[in-house]
Formats: sequence, C-alpha cells, structure tokens
Amino acid sequence: MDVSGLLFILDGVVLGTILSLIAVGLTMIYGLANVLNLSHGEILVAGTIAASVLLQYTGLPLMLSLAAGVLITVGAGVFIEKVVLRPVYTLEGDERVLLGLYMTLAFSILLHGILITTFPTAYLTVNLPTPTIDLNGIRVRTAQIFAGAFSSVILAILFLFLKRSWTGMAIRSLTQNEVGALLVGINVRRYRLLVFVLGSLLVALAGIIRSIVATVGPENGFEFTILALLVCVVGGIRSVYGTIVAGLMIGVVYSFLVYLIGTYLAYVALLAVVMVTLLVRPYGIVGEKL
Amino acid sequence: MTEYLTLQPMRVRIIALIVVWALHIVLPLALQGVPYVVFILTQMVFFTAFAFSFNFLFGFTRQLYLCIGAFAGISAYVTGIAVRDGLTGVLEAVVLGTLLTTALGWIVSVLSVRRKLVVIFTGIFTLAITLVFNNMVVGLVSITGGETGFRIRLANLGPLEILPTNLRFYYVVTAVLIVLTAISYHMVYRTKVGYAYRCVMDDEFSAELVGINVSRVKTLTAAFSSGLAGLTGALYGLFNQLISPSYYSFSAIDLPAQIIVILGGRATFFGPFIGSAIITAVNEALRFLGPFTQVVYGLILLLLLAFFRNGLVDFIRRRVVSWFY
Repeated sequence: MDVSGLLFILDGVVLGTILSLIAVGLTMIYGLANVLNLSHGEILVAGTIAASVLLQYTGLPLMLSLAAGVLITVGAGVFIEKVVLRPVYTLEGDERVLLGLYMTLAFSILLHGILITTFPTAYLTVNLPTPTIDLNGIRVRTAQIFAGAFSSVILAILFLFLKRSWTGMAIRSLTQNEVGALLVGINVRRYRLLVFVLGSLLVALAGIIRSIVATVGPENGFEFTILALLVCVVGGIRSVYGTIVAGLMIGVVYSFLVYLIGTYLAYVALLAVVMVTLLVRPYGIVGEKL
Repeated sequence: MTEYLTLQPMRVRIIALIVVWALHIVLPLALQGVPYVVFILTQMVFFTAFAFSFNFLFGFTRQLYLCIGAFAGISAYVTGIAVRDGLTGVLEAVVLGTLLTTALGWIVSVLSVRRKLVVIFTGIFTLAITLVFNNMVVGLVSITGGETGFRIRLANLGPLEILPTNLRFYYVVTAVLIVLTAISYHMVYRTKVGYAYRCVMDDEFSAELVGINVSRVKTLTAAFSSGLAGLTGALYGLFNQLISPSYYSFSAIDLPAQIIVILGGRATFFGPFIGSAIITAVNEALRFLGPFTQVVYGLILLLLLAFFRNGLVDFIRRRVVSWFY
C-alpha cells in the first residue's frame, strides 16, 4: 500500500473517532432513557453554527466562541430532555421507543428548518496553527493527527469515567438493569439528565473536532445523525465499547469506499456493508443480546 | 382501541367509505372549470395515497418507514429515465418502478424483523435509505440531472385521453387509491388475514403467542405499502412532468404524509382521507411562508405527537359519535 492509502486510513480513523463520539452519546441516552435521539446530529450543527456566527459577527476569540457553541448544544440537549421528551416519559416499552424516536425526529426537522433558514451560510472551519509536513512528496496535515488524538483522549476519559467513577458505574447499572438500579437507590431522573448533558457535550466536541479536519455546515446535521445511528446499530445499541469499535470500523470503511468508488456511491456501499454485517451478526459486532 | 374496531357496525364504515369515494369522483367534475383547484385536488389525492401507504406500515404494523419519499422517488426516477431514454413504454416503466420499490420495502422489512427491536431498526434503516437516495440523485448528475432533475413529456394514458388534460391524472390516482383501499379494506375486515392484522395491531406479543406469524404479516405489509408508495411516486412523476430531488425529499413527501396520518388517525381507513383534506387546505394557507413551511410542519408534527396522538378519527369516535347514543 502506498502513502496515499495510509492517508485514507488516517482519514478514516479520525472520522471514526468523531463518529464514535457522536454515537456514544446516542448509545448512553438510549440505554438510560430508552429514547433514540434523532436530533443528535442537529444539535451538533446548532453548536457549530453558534460558534461560527459568534466568530463572524462579534469578533469573539476562537476559544470563547467554541465554548459558547458547546454551551448552546448542551442547552439544546437539556431542552430535549426536559421539554420535548416530557410526554414520552409517561409511556412504557415499545410505545416509548417509538414515540421517542418520532418526537426527536420531529424536533430535528423543526431545528433543521430554523437553522437552515436563519443561518444558511454559517460554516465553521477551525484552522489550527499546525504545520503541514512533507512525507515522500505527499503533504500530511498534522491538524488531522491532532484531531484524532484529541478525540481519542476524550473517548479514553469517557471510558475510564464509565468504568471507574461512581457516577459512571451508576449509569452503566441503569443501562443494564433499571429496576435493580432503582432498588439500590439510584435516581433515574437525575442520571437521565446527566446523560443528556454528557451526550450533548460529546456531540458538541465532535462537531468542533470535525471542523478541524473539515467544514461543518448547517445542512450536515442529518448526515451525522444517520452515520452515528449506523454506528450504534453495528455496535450493538447498548454497548459503549461496541459503539467505539463500530465507529472506527465504519469510519475506515467509509473513507476507503470514498477513495475507491467516490462520495455518492460510498453511502450505498456503506449501507450494503452494514446490512451484511447485521445479517451475519444480528446483535452487532460485540454480540450483546438486547 | 379493540372495542371500537369490532363493535362499531360494519355498515357505517362501508357507507362512509363509499361516501368518501363518491366525493372523490364527483368533486373535480363540479370544479372542472377552475384548473388551479383541480391541480390542488390532484395533489391532495397523491398525498392521500402516500399517507395511506405510510399508515398501513406505521399504523397497522408499527413499522416506522421514514423513506416513503425515497421509495416514491426511486420509482419515479426509474420510470422517468426509462420513458426519457425510450427504454420501455410508460406502463412497463411504471410496473418496473413499482416492483423495484416493492422488493426494496420487502427486503428492509425482512432484515428488520430478524431483530426484535424492529421499531428502532426500521427507523434507522429507512432514514439511511432516504439519505442514500438523496445523495445518489444529486451525485449521479449524468443520469439523473442532479439538483435540477429532468423533464419528461406528457405520457399518453390510452383510453383516458378523452378526459380533459387536467383531470386525467386525478382519475388515475383516484382509481389506484380506491382499488387499493378496497383491497386493503377487504383484507383487514373480511378475511382471516384481517384478524391477524388486527391482532398484530393490538398486541404483537399476544399475536405471536396465539400462533400468528407476525413476521409474515409485517413483511407482506411492507411489500404492499412500499409498492403503493412506488406506484404513486411513479404517477406523481408523470403528473408533474418534472422529476427532481426536491419533489421527493423527506420534507416534501414524508413529512406531510406523516402529519396527515397522525392528524387523521393512525391505523384507521379514513385518517389519511381526512388528514389529507385538512393538510391540503393548511398547505394552501401557508404557501406565503416559502421555505419556512418546513419549520411550521416540524412544529405541527411535534405538537400532534405530544398532544393529539390518536388523531381525528379516534376523537370523532369517542367524543362526537357518543352524543348520538
């Protein structure tokens, strides 16, 4: 394999870690609230749009604008939990899953409509002052490596948080057995809110990291949601570990498909790959029963 | 839910259905002189058909297909390309498009009933299909004409040519709609399969326990409804004589169809008809909003889901009909 092939792997890994960051939030929210948050990608875009608007029109320093963007995204996440999903929590079982999915979809349509009509040109690109190195005549942006490292660190911290801290263990216990967790005195509502905040924080960071390696525009939300959902499905929708592995896998596969057959057909091929994966392993690559 | 379905006299339902059909046949004849109204009515019937297809999937078997627009679009593009390039005749092209979407809908359903979390899986998968469809149509410019799409000439509809131009498509779609409602009505209320349907509607788990093959009911419904979406989509393309991605996007077809179903009442036969009539009127009233319509539709869908999930038909049954007894 030549150097450009390696570059595609690097591209794929970076995309994969970003997708993992988005999908992990989805997985955790689904585990705790039984709601598949279809507006997850849209709130990512809300954050990047806020940051980009602040940068363009108020001349706020980069870091402050990005922080404001993160705040907006987290605020949107809390809004979804507290307002949009309120009627959903009164239901149980399949009905809750269905309505949760549907309500967040409706919210994402609403948000998308507002964002795309109000800020149609709010693109966010973060240019890091990192050098471009020359590798056998092929130019490698170190920003890419930095982005990959950054998101890997966040994923590692998240992993440790879930494994080691008391809060993390409480979240995992609620995902595994809600009744059992309730019996030992874990407050479901508080952790549900916490998980929404955490998920929104991760998705906001994913948006910023994505804008280091590429441009995030107001129309990208839907795409992020879908890719993250595919990651969730392939990873087995309850497992954070599986989601991270699946994220990397889908990132690399997607980048390679783009390299081989072009952007437009890559989606079709990716969907086919996901279909085949699910036929072989119906419960995701980690194989946890639902 | 159950008691309303079984206790309500069958005759009332049949009479209501016949009244709705008669209205659909007579109304455009009365308004024939106003081409714009006929155009709007045609659009309404198309959306009734899309909503009917979504309703059959979502209402009757709880499969959330979020790709009605994409299915309609796939079929329309197949038809349009075949007609444009002279590969086949119009009829063969429409049949081809319909068969293709039937197969596609069936495959998605087969894949998703393999997993027990059908609801989520179907939702994700069909959303992905919508995304893929949009990307392909915009990307493969040489075949599909990209963003702007392509024009096709007015199709020759054979014996229907005696009708005035603006009424032809109206009657074609109305005929499709009437035939399909009749078939599905017969299936749901008159046959053994219908019992299976109603069981699955009420409680899938119990249905499975009494020995109903739930997966088969679901996959067959998916094939039937996707076929309907495909057929309607192909006709929609021929009617518009312009096939472009904006006509088949999520916000152009799925969103109105879903609002129609939720507003009218899911898992009912009249829901799509009632919802479609109301949404057509609302759409005309909101025309001045332009691209902002999507926001309003999103809000309407959100509010309907939160506060009016059971729809108008259920509301009428519970609140209005009870006055008379």
